[in-house]
Amino acid sequence: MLAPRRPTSRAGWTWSAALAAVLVVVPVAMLATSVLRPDTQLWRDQWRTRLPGELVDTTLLLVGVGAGSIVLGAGLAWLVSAYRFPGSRVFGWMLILPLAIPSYILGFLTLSTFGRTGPVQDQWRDWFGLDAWFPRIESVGGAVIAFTLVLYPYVYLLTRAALRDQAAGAYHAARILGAGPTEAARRVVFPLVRPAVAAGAAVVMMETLTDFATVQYFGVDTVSVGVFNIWRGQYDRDGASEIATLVLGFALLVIGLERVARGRARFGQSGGAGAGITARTLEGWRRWAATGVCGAVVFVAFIGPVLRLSAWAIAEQRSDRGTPLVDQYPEYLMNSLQIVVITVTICLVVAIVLANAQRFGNPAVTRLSSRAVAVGYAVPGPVVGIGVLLAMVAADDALEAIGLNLPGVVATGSLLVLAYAYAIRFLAPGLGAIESGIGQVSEEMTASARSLGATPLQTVRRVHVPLSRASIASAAVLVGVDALKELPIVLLLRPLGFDTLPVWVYDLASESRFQQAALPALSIIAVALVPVALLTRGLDRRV
Amino acid sequence: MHHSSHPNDVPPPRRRRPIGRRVALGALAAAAALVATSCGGGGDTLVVYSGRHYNIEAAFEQYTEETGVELEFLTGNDAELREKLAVEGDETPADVYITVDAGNLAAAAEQGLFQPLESDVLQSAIPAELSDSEGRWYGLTLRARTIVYNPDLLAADEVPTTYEELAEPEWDGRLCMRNASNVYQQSLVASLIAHHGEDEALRIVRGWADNAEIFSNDVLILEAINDGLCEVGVTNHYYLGRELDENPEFNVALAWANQDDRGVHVNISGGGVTAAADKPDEAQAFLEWLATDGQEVLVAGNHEYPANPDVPADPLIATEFGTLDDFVRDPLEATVFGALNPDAIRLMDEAGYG
Amino acid sequence: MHALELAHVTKRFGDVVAVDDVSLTLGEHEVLALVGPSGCGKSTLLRAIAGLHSIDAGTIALGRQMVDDGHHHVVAPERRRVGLVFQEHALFPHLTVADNIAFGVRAEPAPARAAEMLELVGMERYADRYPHELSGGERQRVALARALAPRPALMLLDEPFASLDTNLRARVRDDVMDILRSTGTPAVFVTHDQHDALAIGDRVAVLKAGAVVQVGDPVEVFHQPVDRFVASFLGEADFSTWQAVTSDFGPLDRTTSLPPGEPAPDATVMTRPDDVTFVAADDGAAVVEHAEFRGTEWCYTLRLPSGTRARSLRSHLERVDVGQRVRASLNPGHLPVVLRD
Repeated sequence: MLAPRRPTSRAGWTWSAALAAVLVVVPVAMLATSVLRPDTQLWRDQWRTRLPGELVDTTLLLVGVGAGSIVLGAGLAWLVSAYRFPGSRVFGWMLILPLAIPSYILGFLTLSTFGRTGPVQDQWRDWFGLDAWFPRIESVGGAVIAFTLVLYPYVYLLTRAALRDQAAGAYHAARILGAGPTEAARRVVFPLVRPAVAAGAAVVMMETLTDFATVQYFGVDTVSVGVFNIWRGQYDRDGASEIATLVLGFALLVIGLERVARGRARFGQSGGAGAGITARTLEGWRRWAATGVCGAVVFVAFIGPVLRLSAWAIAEQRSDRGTPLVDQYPEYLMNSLQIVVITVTICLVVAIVLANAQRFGNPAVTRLSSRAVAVGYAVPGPVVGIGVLLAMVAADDALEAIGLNLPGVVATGSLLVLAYAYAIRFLAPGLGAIESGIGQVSEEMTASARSLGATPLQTVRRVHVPLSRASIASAAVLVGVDALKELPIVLLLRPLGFDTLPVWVYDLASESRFQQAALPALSIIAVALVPVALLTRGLDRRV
Repeated sequence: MHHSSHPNDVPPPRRRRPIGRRVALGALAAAAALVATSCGGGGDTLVVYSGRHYNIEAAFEQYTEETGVELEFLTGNDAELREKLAVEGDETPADVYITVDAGNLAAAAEQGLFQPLESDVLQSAIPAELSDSEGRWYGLTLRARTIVYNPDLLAADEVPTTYEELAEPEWDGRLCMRNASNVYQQSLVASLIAHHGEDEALRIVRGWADNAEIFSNDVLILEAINDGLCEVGVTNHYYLGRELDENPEFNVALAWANQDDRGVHVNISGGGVTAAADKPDEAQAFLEWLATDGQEVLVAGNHEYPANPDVPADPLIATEFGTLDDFVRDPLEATVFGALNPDAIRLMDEAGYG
Repeated sequence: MHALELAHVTKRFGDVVAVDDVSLTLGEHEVLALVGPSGCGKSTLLRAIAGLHSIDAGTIALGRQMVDDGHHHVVAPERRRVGLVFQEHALFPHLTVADNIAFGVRAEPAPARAAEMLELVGMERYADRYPHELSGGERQRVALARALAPRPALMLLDEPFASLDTNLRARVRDDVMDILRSTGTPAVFVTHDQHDALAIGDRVAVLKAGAVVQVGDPVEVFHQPVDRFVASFLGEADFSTWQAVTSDFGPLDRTTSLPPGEPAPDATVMTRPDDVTFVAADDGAAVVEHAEFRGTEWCYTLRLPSGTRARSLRSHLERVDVGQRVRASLNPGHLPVVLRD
């Protein structure tokens, strides 16, 4: 019998990984061809006018949101892991809830609550006069706060997992060696969880970087906003994709920073023997201070927004104009769920293949493929959307050229195309989680299964997948929540008549009918809570 | 490897169906769903790409009721839908493309995405300055961008009368304006370029930039004026109509701009039949309906002015702001300011206008 | 027929030659211990046999089946019918003991075979436990049962006892050997521990830098090492020259065993501590330099007249002070071993 040259690097795995990478990279690359013939006039104009400001705003925003998420995410993770205080267990899971709120919803909520014309500043002016100073919310600072509040849970989640899995032993050792809790945290725990914190912060910064809608509420001009002004307003797609290379540049910078911060350590999301840090009970004013801090964050980032949305939704239902509880409501909901399920399925399957290909396939090719799929996460949604359209049309032409005509399926946008674009966008975070899960399965485990007669595919099914179940579940949640909240791609690529909850929000919000958008916004949050709750339960059971 | 990394200490799972099988089942279900939903857009239905969102379902449903023609539609951002049309080319399912801004109509015509229509109905229903000279697109509703103010802070005779006046130093700190990413702000600036040339337009926009606090949507500008944070601003008229609808006490009044010279800047929401339409005749009939019998339902609840002069404006704006006969509109053709949209953006960048 | 036949097997990782032209055979019921310091290529060789690495040159045959010809013909690990046991046991933590053992069973009803194997390793009562509920020794027995359950043609064991503590180690080792021999399965052990290697192997192969230095039965390899490396790797060894030992220890007992012909005066020779003995004598030419207590015995380091050092074992009852002058000699029947280098 003839078998491939390398028994441990089955060609099938290598090819699958490479194919996945090509499918992710090609649509993005199709848009970028104009970069090879740069429009120097455009660059000169941009550099003379907007670009310096955009670079400054983008940098400030990324640094601010990154730092804010690290302080809030890692700090709160430490607080609830290392100390016991009134409500600490409940806060342990409540602090994840803001993940369910899309940034574009928290953006307009923040603005309409704390902004220039919101009730808070109204009251303030009532008390202190029309010219009373109030910090300006419509600013980089305001955007930093809003993004931090919805994105810090990424850092929080990864840090808590790392604290549980990796840092507990070292922390106790340091305490026994005479270090106080703070010193132990600074000298031992922080260096150990640093890779996890860095990974979380990188996710947060990517999400911030590729946003172009929420930042505009705050009057913040990032490079992504610049790209959209050139694309939508100046009708210059080529020029926009040239400027978009700057977005990619920032993304590479973020990835580079993460690598530096991570150092040579690796972070794992699951597994490990950690029994967790033994929590110390806080005494006196400290216990209430801890409760207060956690309570304040949960209130500002989750309860407050939900209450305000609920008030709007109720008022809207009572008003005679009312958003009728439209007949389409169940349909929107089902559509949202459908695309989430499909996207999660595709992302999980592809991520599992990519992660396992690194064990069974050619190491160089598979590792490169895994890195390459990160590009989709580093590009704003609409760029991915148009790229996929271009690729689909090219594919359609190619099929026609060889005499295969598939009318409709390619061009009109099918669910498959939509899910494809979603997968390009969200494969990277899913893959990250699953890679760390598979990484915890020892090579010996794989070798044992193989020598017991299991083929690579059987090994994946019977050993790798069951053992990285926790990681696969968190990957599913991360991808699912992202897919549920996703907005720009669904606008471009959805099939006719396939409207989802975010589309509904968009239709109303783009006409500044924010109150009417409250009900669909609440629905998104409600649906997103389901996976978040599952994740929470998983997290708690393991703590 | 040496100090043991106990892989065996992972807690034992409860027995359950292997994940692999569940994933496989999910994938099957998903595949079935894909096949089921990927065959829309064909058949007898008319397909509309629409940058208009609000209440279009009502208009479409009424059309179906009256004619029996089924409509399917895709809402989204004007420019992105135009890109989608362009990329889809001959394969596009869209028969009709509707926008909320003249700039994208002009750009779509320029890209060859529309087909010229020969329709007596449309030509007689829609004034020439609100449509393309080659009949590729027609305005359907009007959106005037004009001056709004707080009547407690400004007496009627103090209210600025022109866009140009707002650039004067006396309005420093008293003006609220919309950010540069907004198409309506862009088309207003484009009209300034058309009337004054680049240099003068730049001077005016610089003046605005010096004077104004910038907001990210028109409703916020109106609320800021209502709260007394600024005395005067520039917004689309129908946002004020909506605020007054909800709260008759809303303390903002409207002044039609530039009544003594060219008139107030008016943007249009309009549409045309796509070049690759499968059913151009039905599409044209639909557009004709929107320009005539469909006008009322199209503007219902949205306080826009109908583009067809024979259709009355809704009572609220007719009472509060007057009818189309009561104010002077800038006669500048939408094609012209639409084509100047990219220049307007460059100019705002140049002026440092946020 | 051989259970395993390696011919000129070579494996490189980049520029590093991990396994260098190794040829070995394994008889049908034989147990071979592959021993060498860490990094000598013994685990790589084991993995190549299992099919986890392909080889760059040479051939590997299992029974009649050529499994890797160093070129294009490579049989995947799951088709080689080899059993693998690792230091960390690598039990599947999500499966019970019984399910772990049944994992690889295909040709027969798995539960019955699992029960049979559980009985063989004496773990019947643990069938429904999970691996984390077992002790190290129990895990090792489960790992062995799991590897044996599919009736492999060859067992490969990679440092199987290294993670066990010393007390447990000898017992588990004996258990494992009994089980292996009771099933008659040929096996290759990899170990860096010379005690394990000597105790387990029907034959011992010593590896150094990817190459086999010496193969033979444990007694031969221990007592007739071919070079300094093998000599000191398998046990305590002191080195000298032929000329020096003949003067340091006085007349040798040539009745037991003579080296073939008279060695060259500068040939390297080895003694082990059990070869050397001494009597205290104030006029002795050697001196006790160091004494190490080992429980049942003392190990004394002597400085010999030639300046070389040699160790000598004595019963714990016979104390000698450091600094004591002694006369050293070889025990009756013991001779220095002449080495190749």
